Amino acid sequence: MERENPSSEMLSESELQNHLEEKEKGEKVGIFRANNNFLLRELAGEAVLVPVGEAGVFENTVISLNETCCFLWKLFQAPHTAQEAVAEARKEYSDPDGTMEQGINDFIKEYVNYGLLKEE
Amino acid sequence: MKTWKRPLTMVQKFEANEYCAGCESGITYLFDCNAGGGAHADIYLADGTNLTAGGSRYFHACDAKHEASTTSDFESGYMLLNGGSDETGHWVRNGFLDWDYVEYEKIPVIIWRGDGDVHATITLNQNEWEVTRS
Repeated sequence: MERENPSSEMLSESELQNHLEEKEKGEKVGIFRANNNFLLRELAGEAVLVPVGEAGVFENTVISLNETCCFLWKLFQAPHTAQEAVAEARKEYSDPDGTMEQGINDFIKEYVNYGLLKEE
Repeated sequence: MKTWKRPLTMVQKFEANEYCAGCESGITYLFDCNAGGGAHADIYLADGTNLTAGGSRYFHACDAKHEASTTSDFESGYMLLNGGSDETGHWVRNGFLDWDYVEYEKIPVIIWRGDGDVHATITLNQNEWEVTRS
């Protein structure tokens, strides 16, 4: 049977399977929660995370958070998706530069990478 | 309403100070080398090994207190007041022509060799040893 568009390529079975898996991954909404091995405390007017229990790479460290970081940490004490975090942040903060959503996504990505946030 | 700023996290690593005053590792014994009171003798481990074997080698108490960590090896042993002769006994006259071979009394000691020399104390109860705390 002749192909309608001879220039297009057919995917092999394995390529098709990979494509479907990637699409599914992109559509899956992650729910994130703060790792309870880190406690938020205020020291000398600064918000810090104190590692307790299994600290991993954060053994013998002090983790200081700026205000927006602190806000997000408190938010993720309860499970939230990234979209929910953005919605909550918009209630508290104006976003004149339009960097809020990207900033929150970066925060989640980095914190998950270092084990500070856990995906449920 | 506050203005959104990029979330920033600063991680500072510090070196933990693990010094602990009064911990077992900070206690030092003052090992009183007093066995024999200055008389020449031989010192043996509990298994009979003579630590001062040799015609010219002998033990005599230096009557000094040596700083010994509590983690040092303190060994049980005994002392023979044999003048450092390596002999375990000596002949004692019993009558005009009779001699008896008498074993030297084994005097229990605790031995410390932390500084490469042989030191011994007759104070067997370590709880009675003087200590210093660093």
